Amino acid sequence: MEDTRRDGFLALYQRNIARVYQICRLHLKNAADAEDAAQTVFLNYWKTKPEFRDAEHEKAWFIVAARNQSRDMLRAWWRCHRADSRELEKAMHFDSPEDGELMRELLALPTKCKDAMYLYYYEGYSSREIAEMLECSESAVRSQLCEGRKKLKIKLGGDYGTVTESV
Amino acid sequence: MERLQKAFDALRPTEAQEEKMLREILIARDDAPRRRRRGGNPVRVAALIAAALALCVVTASAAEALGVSQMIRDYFQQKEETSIMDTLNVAASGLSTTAENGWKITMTDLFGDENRCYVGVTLEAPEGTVLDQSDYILRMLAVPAGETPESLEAKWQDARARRAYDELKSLSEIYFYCEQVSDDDPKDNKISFVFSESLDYYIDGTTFDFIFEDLFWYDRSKPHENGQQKQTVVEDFDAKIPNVVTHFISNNGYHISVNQSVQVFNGTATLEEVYISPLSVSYVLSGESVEKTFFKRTGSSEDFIERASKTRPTRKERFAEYVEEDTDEYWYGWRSIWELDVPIILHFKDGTSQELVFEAYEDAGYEDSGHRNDISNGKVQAYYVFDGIFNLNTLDYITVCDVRVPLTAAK
Repeated sequence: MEDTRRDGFLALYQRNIARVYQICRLHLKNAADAEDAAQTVFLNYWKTKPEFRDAEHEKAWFIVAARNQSRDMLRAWWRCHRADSRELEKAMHFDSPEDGELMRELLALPTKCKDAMYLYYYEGYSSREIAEMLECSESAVRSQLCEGRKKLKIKLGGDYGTVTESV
Repeated sequence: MERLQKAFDALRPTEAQEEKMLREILIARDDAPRRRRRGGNPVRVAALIAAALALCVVTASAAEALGVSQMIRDYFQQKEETSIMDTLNVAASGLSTTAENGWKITMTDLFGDENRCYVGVTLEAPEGTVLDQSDYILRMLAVPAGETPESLEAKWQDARARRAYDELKSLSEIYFYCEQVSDDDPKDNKISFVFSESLDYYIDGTTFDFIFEDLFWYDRSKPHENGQQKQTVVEDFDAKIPNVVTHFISNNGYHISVNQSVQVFNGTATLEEVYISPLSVSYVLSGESVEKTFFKRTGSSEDFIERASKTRPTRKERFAEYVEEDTDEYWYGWRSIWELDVPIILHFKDGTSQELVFEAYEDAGYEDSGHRNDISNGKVQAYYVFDGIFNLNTLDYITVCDVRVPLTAAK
């Protein structure tokens, strides 16, 4: 019985860890903080054991839990002493200086923009789905996407996509 | 678009990171039910001050006195130990501030010893407000007088740049673990709290500003949402009680000089001293085996100092580094480094004894036991906080590392 539960947890971990960590790192910038946050998300899952309707529900739960956990940690006292995005850039390998620059600007975006950009451009959610997940209006999501794109464009030039859904 | 996706890809964890996180999750999951901790709500999360502090009026001034309030006596549930309670040196009793929104915050007690600080606080809402929950949390932090979290951050960065490692700890805010005490009248507008926190550094004589941020509670009858219990904020304060001097520590405990060679951590060390007060007991070890165990785990001492001071890592992160470099040390790492190795045994005058088993972590916060590493001087101080107020008169002697330490040597 314990083995079955453990196997189930391991499968769930494998399905979600990369996404959870990415969101945490997007918010917290520092690898150690992101690891802490990701671990807490899975421990919280273990404590509450929510029942998921389907794979999408599970995915959405972990996205929101990762976002909430990161935001909580950002408020914790020691966060203010952690590495900033420049330190993150130093710690990561990029193919070109421009990629490093993009990462720095991406991480410097307002929190809501980062969430929306990640979910829309990376995870492929629609603005309606993002709005449901983040508990805000669809127009707010589109506005955050627009703001994020504009900031990246202004600072870096180039094309960072458009929102293709109808307004 | 492609570059954007590549940027997000770069944030993915490595396989090694995934494995490490999973290992720690499984250990923490299995370990959680055995962790001992005081009751109440852990409030390690605390916000930085988001806005400038609102105007508030502070009444009374800091005053030192002997004896804690009735609220603190009730909290420790040791009414029979009145004589001990009466001997505790308490600072800053009766200080209060009224925030612009009319909420009055009174610091009823501020006391402690070298290892632990307690603060009693009463909160009074404007007339007509009913505070009827049993698990409110009031966020409170202490900063050196005149400082803000932002100014501390600047000084911390400066000290780090100068490699002035000894200064770093004193450039931190102190966030407190909050417990609401039982409410005599749940229908009125008053509630009380006891805050506690283990101390990273010696604070006696330091002047602090105590900052109060907000009052909230968790509705525990409702299931978690998205992995978290939802906070219900009752009121924001942004109030402070400034210039509180912590002259209360030195009179509450005793240092017993030992300076004896002991065998510990698979080698020789020196038991330098034992400290005991009605609130806690601690000892200081130094020497070869301590250096080897605590300060030379990976790389040189300099490397350790540099790494340990650079990003102010949590214990988990710090020992996670050891996992990567030497898996054999993992068990002795963040999980329970002092748990079984060096207990303190209290021997009482009636012939009985009690072994204090450490569940000690560095930077233990509100946990009951912990240890502080004095990296510059190669010393480790382990401390154990008593559940209540301890009557030293019942104690005959203490044993640490098989060394008998009589209380008569206290000075």
